[in-house]
Amino acid sequence: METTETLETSERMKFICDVERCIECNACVTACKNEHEVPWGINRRRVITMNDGQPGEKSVSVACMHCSDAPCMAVCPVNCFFKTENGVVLHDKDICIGCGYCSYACPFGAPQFPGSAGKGPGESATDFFVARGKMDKCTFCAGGPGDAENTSEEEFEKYGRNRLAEGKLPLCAEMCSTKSLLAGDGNVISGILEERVKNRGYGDHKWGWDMAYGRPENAGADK
Amino acid sequence: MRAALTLWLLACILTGCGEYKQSVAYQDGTYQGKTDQRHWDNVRFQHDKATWASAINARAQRQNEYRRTGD
Repeated sequence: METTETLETSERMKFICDVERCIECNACVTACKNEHEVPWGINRRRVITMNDGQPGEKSVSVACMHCSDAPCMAVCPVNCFFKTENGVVLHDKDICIGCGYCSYACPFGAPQFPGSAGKGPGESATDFFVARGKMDKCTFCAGGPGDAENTSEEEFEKYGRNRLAEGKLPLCAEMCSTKSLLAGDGNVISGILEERVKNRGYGDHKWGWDMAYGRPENAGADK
Repeated sequence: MRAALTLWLLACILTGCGEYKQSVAYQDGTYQGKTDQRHWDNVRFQHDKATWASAINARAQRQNEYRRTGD
């Protein structure tokens, strides 16, 4: 366990999703599933669209947000969660009992339960109230506990690839075609977003639906 | 009779002062799993956090198209 003092003085890895840019292409979801070979029916990342189909709809890509004060860590009865030195919330699947408390506690719906679900007659792989396997969630492409050399097959099967140990960022963000999803040190990516917002301004009239389909001053130009 | 009633009333009012905090004080659990290796604990980064951090931050800047294109 890291002390608060350590976390304050080191990097904190974070995701930011710029909703003005997300086009709901689901490339982040696909990239994540492919990179980590996530089981059928389990998504570590999802794209949520608000006001779907209406002008001005907004999409946001959501996974584990690696909370600074993570509720999953607070409720876990077997203390299988830990936070790395740079603020990535990970868990040890050898300890997890699949109780699902973290799933109820998480405000983002990040914890997923693959494994035995879906194997019984009439069960779906996404059924919540059937026998659950070990919890699975976004690892910020940091693997699990141990294996900084990123060579263990066992580690890969449990947690997926450890890209951070290779000096790479989570693939969902690196794959994002509109660079809506940013990943990295919180200070660095908030700086990127700040520079972006300063350049483009903020709001629908600067970016998004109106820009793509006609702002008031261009109204009628494409008719 | 009146004194008894007053005392009873005072006792009822004073019970409000005996209120205690009912929210549970959460205590941090202790991680029970296996020890984590840090991301820079490998040959690639020579166990040097600064090298790893600069590599990651340089990579993060590649998400900034204003710097990539020089606009």
